[in-house]
Amino acid sequence: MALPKRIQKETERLMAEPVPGISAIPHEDNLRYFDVEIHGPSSSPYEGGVFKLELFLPDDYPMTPPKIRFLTKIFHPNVDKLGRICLDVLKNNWSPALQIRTILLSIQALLGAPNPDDPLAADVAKSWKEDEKAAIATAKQWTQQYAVPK
Amino acid sequence: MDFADSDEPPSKRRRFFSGAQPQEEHATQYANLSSPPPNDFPKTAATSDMNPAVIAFDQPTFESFVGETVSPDIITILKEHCGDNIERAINLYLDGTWRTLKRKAPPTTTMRPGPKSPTQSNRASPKVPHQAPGTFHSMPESRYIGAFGAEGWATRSGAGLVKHGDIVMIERHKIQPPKTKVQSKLTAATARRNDVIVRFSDRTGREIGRLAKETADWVSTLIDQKICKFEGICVYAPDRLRTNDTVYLQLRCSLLRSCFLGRGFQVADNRDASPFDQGESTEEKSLRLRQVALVRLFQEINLVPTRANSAAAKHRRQELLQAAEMEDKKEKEKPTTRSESQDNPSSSPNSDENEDGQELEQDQLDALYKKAQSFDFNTPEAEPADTFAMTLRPYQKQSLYWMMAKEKDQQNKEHEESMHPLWEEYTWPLKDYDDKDLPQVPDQPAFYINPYSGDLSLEFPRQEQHCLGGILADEMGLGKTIQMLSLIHSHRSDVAVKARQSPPHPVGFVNKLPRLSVINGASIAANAPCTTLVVAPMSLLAQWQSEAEKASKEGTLKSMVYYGAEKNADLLTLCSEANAENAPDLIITSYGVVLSEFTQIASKGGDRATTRGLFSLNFFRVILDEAHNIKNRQAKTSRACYEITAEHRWALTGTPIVNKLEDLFSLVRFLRVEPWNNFSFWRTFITVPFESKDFVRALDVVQTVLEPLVMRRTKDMKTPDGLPLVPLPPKHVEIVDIELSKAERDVYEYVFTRAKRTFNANVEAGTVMKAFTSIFAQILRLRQSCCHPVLVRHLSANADDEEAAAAADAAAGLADDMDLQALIERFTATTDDAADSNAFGAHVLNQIRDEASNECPICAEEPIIDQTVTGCWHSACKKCLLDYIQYQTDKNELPKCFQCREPINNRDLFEVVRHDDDLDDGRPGDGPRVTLQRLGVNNSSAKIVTLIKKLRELRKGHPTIKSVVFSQFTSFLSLIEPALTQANMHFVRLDGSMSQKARAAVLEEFKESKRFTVLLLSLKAGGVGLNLTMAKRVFMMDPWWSFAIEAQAIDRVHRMGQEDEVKIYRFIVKGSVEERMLKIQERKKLIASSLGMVSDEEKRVQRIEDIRELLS
Repeated sequence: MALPKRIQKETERLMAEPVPGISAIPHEDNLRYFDVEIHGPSSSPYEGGVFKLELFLPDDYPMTPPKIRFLTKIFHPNVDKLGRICLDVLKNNWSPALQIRTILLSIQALLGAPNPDDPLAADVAKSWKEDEKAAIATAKQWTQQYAVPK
Repeated sequence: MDFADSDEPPSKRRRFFSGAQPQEEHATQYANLSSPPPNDFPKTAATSDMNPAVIAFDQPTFESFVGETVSPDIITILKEHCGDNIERAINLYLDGTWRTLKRKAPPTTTMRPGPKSPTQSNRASPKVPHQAPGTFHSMPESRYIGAFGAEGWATRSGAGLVKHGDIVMIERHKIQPPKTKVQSKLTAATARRNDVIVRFSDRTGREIGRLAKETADWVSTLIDQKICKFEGICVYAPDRLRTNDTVYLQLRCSLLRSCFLGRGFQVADNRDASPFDQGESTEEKSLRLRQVALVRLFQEINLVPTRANSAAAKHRRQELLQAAEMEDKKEKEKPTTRSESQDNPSSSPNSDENEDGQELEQDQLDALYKKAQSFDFNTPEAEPADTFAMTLRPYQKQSLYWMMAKEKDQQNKEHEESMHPLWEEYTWPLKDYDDKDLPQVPDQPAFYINPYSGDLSLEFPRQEQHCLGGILADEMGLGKTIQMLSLIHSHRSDVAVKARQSPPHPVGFVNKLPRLSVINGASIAANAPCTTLVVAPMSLLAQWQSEAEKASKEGTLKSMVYYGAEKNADLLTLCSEANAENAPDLIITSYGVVLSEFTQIASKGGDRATTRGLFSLNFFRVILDEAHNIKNRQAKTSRACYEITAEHRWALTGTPIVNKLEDLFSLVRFLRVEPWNNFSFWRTFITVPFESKDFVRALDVVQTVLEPLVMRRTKDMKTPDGLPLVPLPPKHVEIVDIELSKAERDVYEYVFTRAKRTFNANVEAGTVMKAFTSIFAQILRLRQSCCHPVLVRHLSANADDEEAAAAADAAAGLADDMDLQALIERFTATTDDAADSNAFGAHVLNQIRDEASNECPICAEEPIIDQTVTGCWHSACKKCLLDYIQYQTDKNELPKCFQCREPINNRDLFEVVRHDDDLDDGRPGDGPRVTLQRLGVNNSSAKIVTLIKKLRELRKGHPTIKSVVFSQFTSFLSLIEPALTQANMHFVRLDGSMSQKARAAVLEEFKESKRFTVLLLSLKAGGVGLNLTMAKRVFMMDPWWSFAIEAQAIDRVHRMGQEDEVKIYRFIVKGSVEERMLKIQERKKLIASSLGMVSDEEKRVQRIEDIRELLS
């Protein structure tokens, strides 16, 4: 199946005008599959970390949202162990007017503003709620451990 | 039978010339002989005794004939003046002319004295030529051409009156005095007509009998008209002859020298003869008799032409006889028919009214054109001059060559030898009836006969080509104008001639211009050696000028429109030789101007100089464009055009003959082609035979007239390589898939299920054939539902389909079907809702308009395709938006806006209609007008929506293009009309319900329209014949059973004359009976039934098969 014009255009724009702190590069053998890197936002526990994600555009994209998952281990109340992300625009609030770029920005924002009230990783959310400082420390530590390039 | 054995004393071989002939004839004959025309008959030859065909003069015979002793003095005088011809001597003696003659000086040594003994005359007789084979220096008094057998019947009884081998005299007696009792009661004319009696008598002049009427009919003519003389030899006669016994004779025929003299074209050269003067004159009658007699003679002696106009040679004789017979019959019918034509006022009509002449049937016209179109593809090509700025196609170069040859009178070599097409060549026989050699005349192996005029000639009748121009009659679209312009560039008058010109002297006095003293007129008009005059219809003047500019390298051609204000120019000075440097190369004027100047001159007594205008000049060349404008030779415009003087005369017309042969005459007259520009000549050889139904002959003659004059190519001609002369532009057929809307689909499915049920039920019951009509009606209904559901409701009563009637019958069953009604109503409910797009403010609209150039947020198309806005004013492609709504609906979600996530009301979707394609709109302002149209509203059916969309796209790119929309349902056309109106598209409509006149008007409007125009055409009414090459797009709204029918419709547009690529869109509803119809079409590319080759029954069986497939 030929690559829809929309995907071509999005890809081209991601390459031409990259969002600071975000990169998304399609696989050569599957242009619907992207390797994504998101820099942790400054003044967040994830600052200094570079998080890898995988992004896949399903066949009915943009009717359906892209599928996206953290590959890098991250301590975040809205990201589960498998890297799955809890974000409304990736679920009910998806609209075909949204794009890869906007989705990745949303994820970046999510890193800066964890939402433990709508958790995906229940344990992480719990610790976040009970002892936010400790949770943030853990997050920082995980970031240092898993996300900081060596 | 061998006559060579007969050894008659020569003294018996006498001929007598009837003393009973009227005095006048003797005088004529004598006059002829005493002053022979200066061509080939020196006087000395007259006395030569080497003239074997004439019975020599000898005194005893002479005396025995005149029945008295003649004094030696008289004998000598006679001898000297009769040219050793006893006939003449007798005539001289009997009519007394000898008295005026005087004895000549003693004969010179070259002149032989008259023969004195029988033996001498014997030597001179043809039977034993003096010198065998002898020769003559020139044409003798008469020359043998052949012999034939004839019957006669005796008028007297007696024994031994005549026997085998006896020579008999063949004589004419005009009117027999003894019978005056009866004949005096008859009118002179009747007597003359009936008198064909030819007697034969023995050597003493005693009548033995008469020739049988059959032979006498024409032999009498030949003798009377002094064409031939006959000698008879008795082949068989009963020993005891009784009255009415049959006598068999052999007649030996010699052509008299006199028959080659004197006659010419002048017989018919009476150009002022009123065309309405139909009565056959005495002259015409004698011509007719002469024609018939000659043809019969040649038949009898079995002399065939050695050279003749090949096309006509075979049939010519028969035709001539027929023609003459026709004339006979016609004479009787004449009074009635003529009085009719005489009712026509013979004043000069200025219009096309009051034309005489019979109209040509279409097939005759076709045949004629076909003959005239024998274009030789081997004609050499000529390259146009350097100053000509366009490239010519090969066939155009060929005609350039031809035209230049015509103007410079450079005939092809073959043409140089070409014989006048009306003449036939006959070789003089080399042997006589006894198979003995005949004396020959050097350089005169043949003689020539014009069977049409009855003329005979010893000279080779060359086809004269006086006309330094012709008729370029290529069909429309082959570039006549360009070809003429290339000629104007490539053949200019000699510049050297120009340099030598003396200043133009004031134009002299032209005496009687309105009369046809053309030739004199030409010499009086001043020369305009540089100038070509083009006379064209007023509407084409500008086109001519622009074409002339386009075709010429800058500054190489000065053109000037001589019309209106420009008309004040002093052409006489401007174009004169003195002004050669600055004279215009091309003057373009209208027929109206020609006519008005002509009238002006005529009213001033015909002084060409008065206007210093068109008629004061002798142009280098005159070209009549659309020359059929002068097809009526009596119209003033035509007569004005004849008066234009020019070196070279050309007529351009795609239709040299509109519907009468006389149309052509006018062109020939304009071209001044001798002798055809003489109307009575034309009439004699073309009109009369044609009107007496002798079409083949008339058309053959026309062809011979046309052939050297006309260059005609048609667009469907093929080069020898089989390529079309002008290749057709490509055509591109595209199938447009139509997606039915939900409501339409429901209707369709309903009808489909129902049709299938009916069919299956009938198949099971084996009653398919019986129920054929009903099944067919349902299929028809199904097809209609693909076009527009409303058609189903309309019971298809007004579909001009062959099944329409049947459908109406069957539809009664469906009409009260509530389910279907409901479905259709649902469809109309979504369509009849009026759009309240005006409720939106201009601001919103402008915003929406500007947004359109952005990309679609869903598919990233840029600009948005079919921009559609939600109730919350968010734009996307129509398809994207609908897909998204569908996607959400499928997931049982409430559709929300893709931007603001407001819930979307399905009925609040609006398509943005941009009127940037609509130049007729005429609204000033920034940017194109935008309107919103509620989705699915007023668009009616999917097909119409697609059609309008396609037309809009088309109008955007081609604001003045014309399209044809075909449908087999006129009611569907009626539904398309409002959609076109709404889109502000100009349209016209043609269907089977319209009168011929109305159709013509519609086609004319479509042709003349200068803006974007759509022609709605019913397949049945417009499938054949029409020429719609002005259209470039075809929309086939629905498929027909056989593609051949559709192809024919498409060919109305994609045919010769089409200059651009043609795009054809076939609208086919996806997943419907229409798609399956395409498959059926494919299966039998050329369905037999479409050609009407199968019976109705077979057709039905065929259709049932089709239906089975359709409903599968």
